[in-house]
Amino acid sequence: MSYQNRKMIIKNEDETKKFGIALADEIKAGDVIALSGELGTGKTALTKYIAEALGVKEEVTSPTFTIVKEYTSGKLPLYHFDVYRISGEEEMFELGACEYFYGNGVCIVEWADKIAGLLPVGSTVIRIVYGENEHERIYEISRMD
Amino acid sequence: MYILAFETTGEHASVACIDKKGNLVEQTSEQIFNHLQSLMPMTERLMKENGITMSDISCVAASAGPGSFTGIRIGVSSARAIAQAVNIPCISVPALWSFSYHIENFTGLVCPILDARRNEIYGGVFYLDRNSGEIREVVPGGAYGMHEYLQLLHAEITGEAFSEIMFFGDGIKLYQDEIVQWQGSSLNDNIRLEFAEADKRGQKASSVAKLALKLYNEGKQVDYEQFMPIYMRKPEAERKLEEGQR
Repeated sequence: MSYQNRKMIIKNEDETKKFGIALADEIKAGDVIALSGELGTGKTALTKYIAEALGVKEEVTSPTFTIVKEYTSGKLPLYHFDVYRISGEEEMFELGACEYFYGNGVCIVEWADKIAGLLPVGSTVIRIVYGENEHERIYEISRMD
Repeated sequence: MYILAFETTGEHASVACIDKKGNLVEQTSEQIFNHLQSLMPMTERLMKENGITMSDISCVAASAGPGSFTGIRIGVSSARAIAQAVNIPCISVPALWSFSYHIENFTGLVCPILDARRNEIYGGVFYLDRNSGEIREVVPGGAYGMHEYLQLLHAEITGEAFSEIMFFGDGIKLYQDEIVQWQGSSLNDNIRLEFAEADKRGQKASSVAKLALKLYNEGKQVDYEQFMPIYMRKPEAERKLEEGQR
């Protein structure tokens, strides 16, 4: 992906949407996108825009309580994880998460740093931090190796 | 007396029944990773076709892993459920060891390598002594980098008079080139290295059944509650330590 290893300043939610659409355009089956960042940095918002661009018809809501939600109405199956409540890699492994990560859909994982050791080599890692202005966010994008 | 044996840790599910003398019947699903749907009907068919009833089964074995996560759970859970329902013991069969029985009369080193992802394999090196029937774990089953695995294998080959090596498992398609290169640079010409033919590469219930019979004769039956999957994952703390050292 051309977004790898760079830092982007996202000024507002419109730009989040643009970024999500551009990212979705490059997504292939089997890709894993690992999101991390404090509460309120917009991990779920970004996921919504990616999902929308993938053609997902259902409303995307936070899977904090279900750990994962599956969306199959888009051009690729989308598996949206929120691992905030997961104690760590062992618990996530026991849930069978690796079958998703190495499957044929697209996985977006919020709070991915909690289970970094389970993520496939080559996952796109996006760390979201607050910018200088109220609506500004900084996306630090890298590739998991 | 029969042992019923499940193999669901690889691509194709299979089921076998073995009697005390080692006579075997087996069925293999042609479908890929469709274990949940195929295992029980296939078992029923195998037993019916061979006139085996549930009361003939004295023990139920399953390949406990490593291998496919969901596959392992299907095999182990199915074995546990049957064992509990008809009140018979289970036998936990280590998947890597079972490859020792894949090729009749093969007397070299058995090298199963399974793709463990993240650039690792689950592998081991085994030697089945055809005279005593004992299996020696030459390189312990575990998660390895391919380079590390080949180094361990190399040490065993040079240390002892092994002249034949055969690789098994789905790791072959990922690491065949590396193994061939290693052979060219590190092995003497008198050592024969082979990759098992495509239809003998994967896990097989017949081999699981043969190993189960051996374990049965050694009294290794366990209560269904004690039969647990063997994922062979390294504990998180250990992996973090290793990653930190890289």
